[in-house]
Amino acid sequence: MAGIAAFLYNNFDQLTLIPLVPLAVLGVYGAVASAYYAYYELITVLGSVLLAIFSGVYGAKGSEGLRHSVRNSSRYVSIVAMPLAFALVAVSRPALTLLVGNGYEAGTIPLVILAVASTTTIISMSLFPILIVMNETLLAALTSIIPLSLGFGIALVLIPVSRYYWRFHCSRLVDGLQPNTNVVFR
Amino acid sequence: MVFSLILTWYFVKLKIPLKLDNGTIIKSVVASSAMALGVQLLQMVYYSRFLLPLYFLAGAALYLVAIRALRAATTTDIDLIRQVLGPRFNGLCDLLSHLVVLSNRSLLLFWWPH
Repeated sequence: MAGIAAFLYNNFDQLTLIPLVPLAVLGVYGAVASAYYAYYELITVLGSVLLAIFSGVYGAKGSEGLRHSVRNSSRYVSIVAMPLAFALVAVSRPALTLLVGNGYEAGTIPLVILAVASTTTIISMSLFPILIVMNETLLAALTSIIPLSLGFGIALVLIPVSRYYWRFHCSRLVDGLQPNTNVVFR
Repeated sequence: MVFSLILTWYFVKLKIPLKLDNGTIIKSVVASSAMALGVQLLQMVYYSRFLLPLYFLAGAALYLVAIRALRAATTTDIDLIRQVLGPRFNGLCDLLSHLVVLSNRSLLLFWWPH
């Protein structure tokens, strides 16, 4: 279940693009996706760390202790992870061209869109583990299932009707509106 | 990501009264934006993909300066990092403390007329 959900999430945008754009463009898109997921794996580590900390706090002090922990975690997560997102925005062009080649420069804007959208993930990183710790797994699943379905619907409408150049960016925009399924189904 | 944040925020708020450290979040966004702007300006002056490490270093320096200027980090934060990293990284934490934390004394020296 987790594997299927993760595969669909990670690939549905690329599967949607296959009949709509040339393979060269799809290659650029794949490079952008890889660069973003490398960064995303880095920031999700924070979520894993917080899950363990929140579990301990909830076990010892209950929901009152959790309330104070959320405040502190939002503080540290924003100080540590926010500059990573903005750094990716700032160096997306040299990073893409240095690591994968000059031909991939067109991926700069989609990568910037994703990096900017990921700032919201950084904040939700300090909130999401609370639902798991409090045993609210249904609500935790809904925080991914609802945006995922919504994003999938928007992608199916937006990508085919948009002009060729914007299909590329639309798929990244839709991606930016959704969560990462891996976090929920892990 | 945006929808997910809204939903997570709503569901968590249903369960516990929620208060984020908005001041620090805003300060880190401002500091990070200043860093991104500085790096973009640097790229406008001289762009080469081979200068990527330099852009990173410049960005890190700018972020530390911005965090220090905005007084976003305190000695308590550095002590927490010290606890997490262990005694082997004491030197690094001391350096970080000097770079990032703006004490009242250094603030006085900064503003003192020369």
